[in-house]
Amino acid sequence: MRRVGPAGGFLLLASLLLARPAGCQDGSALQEGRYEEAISVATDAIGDEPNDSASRRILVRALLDVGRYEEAIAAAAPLPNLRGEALRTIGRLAEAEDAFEEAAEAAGADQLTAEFNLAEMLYNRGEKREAMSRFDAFIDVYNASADLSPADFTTIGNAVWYLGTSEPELFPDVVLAFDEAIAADPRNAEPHIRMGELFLEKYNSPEAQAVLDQALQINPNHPRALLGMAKAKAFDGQQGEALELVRRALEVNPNFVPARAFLARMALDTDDYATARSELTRALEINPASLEALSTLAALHFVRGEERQYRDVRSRVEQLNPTYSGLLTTVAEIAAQQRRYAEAAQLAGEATSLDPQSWASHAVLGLNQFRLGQIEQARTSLERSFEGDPYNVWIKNNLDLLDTFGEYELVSVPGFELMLHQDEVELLRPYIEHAAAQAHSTLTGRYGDRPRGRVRIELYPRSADFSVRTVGLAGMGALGVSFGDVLALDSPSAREAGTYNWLTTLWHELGHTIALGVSNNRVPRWFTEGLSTLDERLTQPGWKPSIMPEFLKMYDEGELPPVSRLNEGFIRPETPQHLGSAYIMASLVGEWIEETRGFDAIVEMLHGYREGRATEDIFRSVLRAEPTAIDAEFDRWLRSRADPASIERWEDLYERGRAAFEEENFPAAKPLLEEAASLFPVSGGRGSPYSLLAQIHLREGNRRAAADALIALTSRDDRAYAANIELAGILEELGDTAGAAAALERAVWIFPFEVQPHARLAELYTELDQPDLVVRERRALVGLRPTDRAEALYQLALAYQAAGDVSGARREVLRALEVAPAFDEAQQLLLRLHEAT
Amino acid sequence: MRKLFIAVALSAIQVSGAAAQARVLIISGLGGEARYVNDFHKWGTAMVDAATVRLGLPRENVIYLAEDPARDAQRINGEARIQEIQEAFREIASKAGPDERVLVLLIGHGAADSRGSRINLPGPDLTAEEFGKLVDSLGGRPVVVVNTASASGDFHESLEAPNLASITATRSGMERNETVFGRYFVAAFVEEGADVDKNGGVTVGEAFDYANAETKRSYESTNQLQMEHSRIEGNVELARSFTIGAPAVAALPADASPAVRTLYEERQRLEESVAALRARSATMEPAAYQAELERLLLELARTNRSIQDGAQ
Repeated sequence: MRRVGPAGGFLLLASLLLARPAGCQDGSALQEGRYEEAISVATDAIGDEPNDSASRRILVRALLDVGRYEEAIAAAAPLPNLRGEALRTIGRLAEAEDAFEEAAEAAGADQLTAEFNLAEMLYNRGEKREAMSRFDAFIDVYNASADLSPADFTTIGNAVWYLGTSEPELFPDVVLAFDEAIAADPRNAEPHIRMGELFLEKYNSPEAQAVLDQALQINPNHPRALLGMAKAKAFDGQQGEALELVRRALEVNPNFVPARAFLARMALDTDDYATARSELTRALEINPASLEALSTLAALHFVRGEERQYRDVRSRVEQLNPTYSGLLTTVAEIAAQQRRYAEAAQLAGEATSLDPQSWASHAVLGLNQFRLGQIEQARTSLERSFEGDPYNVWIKNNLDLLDTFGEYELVSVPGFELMLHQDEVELLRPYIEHAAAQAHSTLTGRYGDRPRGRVRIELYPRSADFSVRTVGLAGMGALGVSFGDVLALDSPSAREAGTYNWLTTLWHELGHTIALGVSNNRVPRWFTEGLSTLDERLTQPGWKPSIMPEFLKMYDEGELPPVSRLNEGFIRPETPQHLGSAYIMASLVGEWIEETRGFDAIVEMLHGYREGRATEDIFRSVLRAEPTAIDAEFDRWLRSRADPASIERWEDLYERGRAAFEEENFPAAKPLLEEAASLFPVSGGRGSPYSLLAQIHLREGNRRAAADALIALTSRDDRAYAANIELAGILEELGDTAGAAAALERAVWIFPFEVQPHARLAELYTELDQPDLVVRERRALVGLRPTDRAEALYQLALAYQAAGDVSGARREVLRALEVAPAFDEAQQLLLRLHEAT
Repeated sequence: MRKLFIAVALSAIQVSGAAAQARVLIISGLGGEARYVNDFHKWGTAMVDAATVRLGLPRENVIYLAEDPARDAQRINGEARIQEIQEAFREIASKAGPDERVLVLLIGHGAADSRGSRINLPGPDLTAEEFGKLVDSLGGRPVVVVNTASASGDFHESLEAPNLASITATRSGMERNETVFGRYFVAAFVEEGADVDKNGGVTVGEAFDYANAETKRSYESTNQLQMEHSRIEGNVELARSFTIGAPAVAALPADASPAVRTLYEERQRLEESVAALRARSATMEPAAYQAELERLLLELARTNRSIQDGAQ
């Protein structure tokens, strides 16, 4: 470690480390999580020999791990440090401090740990200067002692961890200390757990999981290891696994306060306020001084609008620790989770004022400023956080992302600020300008509300960058996100053609912006996702996506929560398929409400959320039914729309049809596939019967029928890029220029990065005498950076000329000649344009 | 100084009939699988047709050695064995004038290992070192070598001379997958789109740019990681001005009147002014740059129209 020097407050400590407890049992039952056995054997041993301190330690540790705190306090009577730890666990802080003092004054084996515990108590009540001075002394212990026990290494690591908050270069030493503890006693789970908790603090989930997994291999029942793993899983979006792990932790230790606080936090994520409240009540009954539980309780009061209770909890925490920033940071995080980013930034800003060295608070402030589109302020906050804690992966990723912003161009248009990558701006700008304006006008008309300010839309050509923008890490599978007035989404170039429709994603996210605005950011996720998925349909008039058999099957088999608990389907989906189905179901709920109660009811519901009312209340007042009745009514409606009993028939028809198709037995395949298409025209997993039918018709030379099948498919599937391209070709052959243009139009909106569809569409629009659209397509061709740029610019100039835009034509022909001054046709056009004016 | 510059520039105006000839040697190696055999044949014959039909090179100026001469006896001069290749180089060295430009195009599968880089031929492979010596045998003639084979990148090391430019389909011998660069390099002379300066001809440099861009687009459109990265080395200026057929810009007729000659000189001056203006665009106010650009381009267009009117 970094220093060798005066040992500060307790120079003698190092010399006292040699004293070691003698043990009568090896402690393997405790180490391996066989707690009842450990308690039983240790109790018997103490019964035989009351001075058997090793057995007593095992007994106390086991009782603490399983949450039998009062028994632990009693058993720890002759072991003051352990007694202090037991007392602290239930919030008897003054008694705990006395016990630690007693242990520190005694020249016993626990002296080092007791000194640490005393320093930590000082830290936790805001006496940081004194606490840090005491932590600092542990470095000297490390440097001066050749014979440290595994527990000593862990304690030193814990102390240096605190020092790392002001000297981040010490964090490698924390890892070093835990590593040494592990090397000295590989069967002890504790240093693995501490290492895992350290990685969790740095948002490094893979590393955290790796070491916590090692801990759980040693002791599969360790409550803290289970909780740590639960947090890592939750961080990775695996809420179902996280919940399972935290429940396992609570089975081992029902009084484990951090697990109850975490469970409450998870409940807050799903707007399950009753569970959150009950978990926190129980946690605080066990330990009324738990800062973590109090902070989460404050967050609950905040999001529920319980002002007085919120202030009371803040006051309780201030009494425990007047400089504790964790409460405000926790409230900010949960407010952000509920999409209340402006309030989150405000709270995190207060937290940084309370404790300027709270790097987590600076991070939460920066992330929320980033979400609010306050880019430079965000950069400042995040850099401040990263200076203090350069091991935070989340913040590093965000700063790395911010460093790429120089590659983007900002385009201001009425109502929007567009952030487009410099390589794509020329191609995408005409499309996104049009799409954003149309979506804005349609959605504001529909909801009777408009975004408060200018909406910023960021398009990322690299999915990893979008993912970092959204969750701080690469690898998230989502397509777009709305932070209110800031939208971020994958550019169409980020994904393979035919796998993504950025237009519907843009409408979806803008729908969130409106819903968040109407509800003052209080709309629950299930409802806003449902409305936004419903809004996607407005991108094409008359478009009505089919109900897919995969969704219906999942619904019918009870894999999805009912309407009244649909939020759980978004927060704790078992699999990505469950999440996808939750989106579909939420949109169907929206459709059902609109159909049965009118769209005004949807707006009224959003107003209900704005007033802070819970979903069940809103169901009663707006939909005029109890939640269970709502569940039943929707169920009847859905089953009238699509019959789950048809799924089996569809599967049979489709599989037999496909088999016959593959055998080229088209006469047999056709009726099977036609019937399958009448039941479910599109399937998410297996494709569409219409796709096979189109191929059969083409093989049979019936292009009209093939076109009809492809029209049926492309009118239901918003990602059918290849089918639209194929359809355009067939319709052209059939002489249907307008139909071909419509198909290519759909194709270029899905994936605008291929030259040929734009070139053909420009020609078709020329034939159809739609000069403005010819200009758009010629602009797209220039934006695709063709090798023959001069020719593309010349064609664009001609398009402008045909559209009557002489100044545009002149501008573009000059650009063409700038590239190729000898370009004869362009020179002639320039002269004609000049002569005409 | 200014007068001297103009005098030098004017001397560069080409007069029809005075342009140096070009020679093209195409060597297409073993294909192995049928699809490669067909592709290599297609590219080789297309290049022969482009050079002779489209670009007007005399047939005797083009030598095409391929895997199977019987496949197209009209276009293929012989088998692509080392002996025939050596003979072809000897023929060019003996027949080509001292200033004649030579393009050597290699098509096939390449390899690179501890024994060096090579291209697979019927019989023994041709190594980069052997190939370098053959190119040296052409003396100081302006030569551009284009190796479109896989793993061709290390060929540059054997090709160093002041009047030599070399192009390879890959960055190094480590890029060993099959390449598509050759298809697009040939397409640059066969299809529209490579003449980016619109002067009526495609230089080898333009063909390189075109093939480079289309190769990238080809990988992007199929969502594949690009496995080949072409390189141009040596006398790049030579490649940028190297045309296979007639001079790129319509040449001044030998019997041009003084008035026409003046127009040609004026056109050249204006083209150079546009180039000079573009070079200093970054230091100018955008509006001033645009105004001056438009003025020069209009003047250029009018001059060109006068030349065309005079020709009619």
